[in-house]
Amino acid sequence: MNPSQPTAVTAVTADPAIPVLSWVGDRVHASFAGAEPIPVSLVQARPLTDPDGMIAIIDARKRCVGEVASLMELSAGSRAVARLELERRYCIAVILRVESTLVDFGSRYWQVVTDRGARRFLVRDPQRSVLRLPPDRVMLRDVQGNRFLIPSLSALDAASLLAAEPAL
Amino acid sequence: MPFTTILPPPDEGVLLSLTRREPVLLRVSADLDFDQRFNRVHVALTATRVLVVADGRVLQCHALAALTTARADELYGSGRLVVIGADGERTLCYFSRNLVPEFTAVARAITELVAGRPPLLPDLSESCYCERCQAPLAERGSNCPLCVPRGRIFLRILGLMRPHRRQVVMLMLGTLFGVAMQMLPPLAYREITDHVIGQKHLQELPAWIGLILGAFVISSACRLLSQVIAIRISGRVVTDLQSRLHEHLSRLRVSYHHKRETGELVGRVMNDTSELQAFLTNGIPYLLVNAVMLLAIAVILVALDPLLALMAFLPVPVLMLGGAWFWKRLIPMFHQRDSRRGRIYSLLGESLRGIKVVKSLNQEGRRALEFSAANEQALAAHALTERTNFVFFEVLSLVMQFGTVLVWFVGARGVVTSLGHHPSLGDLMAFAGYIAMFYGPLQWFAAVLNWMTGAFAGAERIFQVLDQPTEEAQVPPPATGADAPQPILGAITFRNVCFSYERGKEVLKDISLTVPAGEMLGLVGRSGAGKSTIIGLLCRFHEPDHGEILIDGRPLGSLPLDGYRSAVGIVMQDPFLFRGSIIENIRYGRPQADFGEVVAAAKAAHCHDFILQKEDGYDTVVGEGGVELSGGEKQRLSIARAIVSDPRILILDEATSAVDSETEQAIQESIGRLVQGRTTIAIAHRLATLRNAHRLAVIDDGRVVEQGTHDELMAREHGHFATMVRLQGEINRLKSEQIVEIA
Repeated sequence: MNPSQPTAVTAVTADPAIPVLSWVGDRVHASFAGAEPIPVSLVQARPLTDPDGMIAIIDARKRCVGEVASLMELSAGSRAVARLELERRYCIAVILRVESTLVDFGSRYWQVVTDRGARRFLVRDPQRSVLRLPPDRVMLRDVQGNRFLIPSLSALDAASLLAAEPAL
Repeated sequence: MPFTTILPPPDEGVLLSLTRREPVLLRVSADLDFDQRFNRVHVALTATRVLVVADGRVLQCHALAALTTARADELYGSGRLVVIGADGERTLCYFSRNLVPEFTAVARAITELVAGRPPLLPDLSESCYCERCQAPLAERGSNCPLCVPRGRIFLRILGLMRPHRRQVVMLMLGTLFGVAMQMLPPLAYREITDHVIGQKHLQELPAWIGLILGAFVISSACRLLSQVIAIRISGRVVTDLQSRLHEHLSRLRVSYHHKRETGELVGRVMNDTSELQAFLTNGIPYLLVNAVMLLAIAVILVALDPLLALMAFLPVPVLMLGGAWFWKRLIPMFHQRDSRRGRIYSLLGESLRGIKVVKSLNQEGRRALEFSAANEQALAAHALTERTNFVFFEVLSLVMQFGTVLVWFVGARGVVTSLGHHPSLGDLMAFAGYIAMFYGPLQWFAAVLNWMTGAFAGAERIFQVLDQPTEEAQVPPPATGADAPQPILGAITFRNVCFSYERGKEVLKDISLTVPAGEMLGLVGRSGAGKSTIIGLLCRFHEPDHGEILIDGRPLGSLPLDGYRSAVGIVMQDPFLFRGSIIENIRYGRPQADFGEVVAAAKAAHCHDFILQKEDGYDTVVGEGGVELSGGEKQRLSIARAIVSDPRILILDEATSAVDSETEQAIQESIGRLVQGRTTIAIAHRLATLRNAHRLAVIDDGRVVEQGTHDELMAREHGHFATMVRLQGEINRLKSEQIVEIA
């Protein structure tokens, strides 16, 4: 078991459509209306625009077997399970500082410092890979599919903004 | 062994102490720790254990005997390696998306070892980082654009002009002669000032004026000639290159096209070649002109007056370095401007293509707002670029003027006071003339360095395509003698075939199928199960990663590609018609087919009647810009095309899914005639259409989960096929009831 892993939790919810989430090993399991827990994956319905919104529960055959409008619908124990699983599933490095960018004919090389450490990555086709989200968030998707978020362009320091601007 | 990572000393030590008695089969480093921070965590696999090591500590150790399988999950922006045992799943490590192929292979190796089979270790030596500069690469193993050896590309660009040697020599001679002529007028100004005016030798004036005029005329003529030759050479080179690229692209494997968008490739054929053409027309000749001119003027300036020459050279470093600095900032602005312009084009195109949807949903106003916003952004980018560009050139001009002013200041004092260096007034006039000619090329060189980078990047992309081996080059040469090509009968065998479009993401897993010659196999399964991929492999659009495909008992890879392809006919869900007449489209696969054969095929495919109803009959132009045909009509034309090709192996990929029931019935009749005596593989969602298949195979998640005759599969009450048929029957019944209720 991972060091940060909480122990399995069980809880009972009044609404049979609201699942009870628990860990079996490192896999989230969901139980609906007291039925046998089944292995599931948790997916944010709108990871870009409303990550705290609807969470879908997907079974091993990739079918949606349930959903909750927000984590608050879950019991405290299930919420903790869901929070940790979503944290692990959605790996978005938050850009704290832009060290440099290099635009080389269609390719944009970024050298950044993120909340997860320093990283160098490549973005191509900015129309698809650079998503500007309100109010001034920017989500970058590199050529491999890794995600990097600038939570607020205006909150970047001047040097970072100057470096980022040509590559956006 | 490519599948080995060198660990940092503490981790290496830990690993060595743990695995002293058993060799490590593979070890791979993940780039995320358990908190998903960018740190190294190492996974090592021995014949009995899998270990996770980091920071000199063993984090996890699992006996393979306690495991049942392993898998690599792709998450949002990362991935994780999971092992499954009796007590559930355990996450071994997290990794960025860069390492998905590596850890998919690790998961497969663990699974193989757990099952008691020797692990398959694919060669994953192609990194997603440049080995030289460590920059991330767009594709694994591709060339790093930042490390492109510009000299080699330049030589290769010059090599494109080799067939036009004579014209290139003429271009060079014309250019050099033109430059020489441009050097004469300032010298003539000196003589006119010092001799004709200064010493009042008026009789010499007509000769000098004649010389100046002659030099101007000849220089203009040379420039004109050079330009005409340059345009001719570059036009020829680029036209040839575009044709070569088009042909080469059509001969590359489908897997090459699978990874790239059509727009990107069209861009290479058209935009990159246009950029190269601009460089060949306006770059190379001026590169020569300006280099020669710069050198010649520098020599003349020093010869005329070394001190004044020094004054003139003072702004040179500022011009060169400042120019390079400015261009570095300007280029991203050009990109941003182009990108925003591109957004306008795509919005406009989208609005026009989706005009019916926009109108039906009453969204004209919203589209107009979106377009205006994008237009404003494009305008802002354009204004910024132009403003910066303007400032750039004004600043450079100002710096140049400083040099000129300095020359006039020192020169004029010298002329008047005759102190120290004392050039004549004529020298000063000539100097001024040469300075004006000197700074122009300098400025051009500062700009052209960046311009050349663009042209070179385009050329590099073009060469990347041309350097890709074609299908023919990847296929062994045709067999000779006893193994001479034999006619294809059509027996198909898939033996343990695995395939992935992207490394690590297996689409087909251990597929084994047999279709005797002349029989029909129906492939059924959910969308994305892998049915079309099986067909792609059969058409040799791709090569299997593992396993083999046999045709009449011979490996598919050993058959001559053109001979094999002409024995395969395909009718697709969305048939593609080329721009041309109906008759040309029907006999596309066998252009030598006569009209009688075309008509017979059209009748067999139930399209003869509707063709004759068109105003131009068989000469009706269809395809892009031609007469609109319905889905069913296109489908029947494609069946006629397959009949004319007379293939031994026929592939029907959802041939009737996009048509109404009446048309489907007509098409089914056509297909019924077409499949007679041919090996047929048919994919269909409407399961009833596969009733006549000799055998059926159910594909699920890249595996064959059920095989047998229709009756055999229906007899399995809870089998995949029987369940699918039952569900489909239920849906059809509900639909019928709804129709009755509405009626």
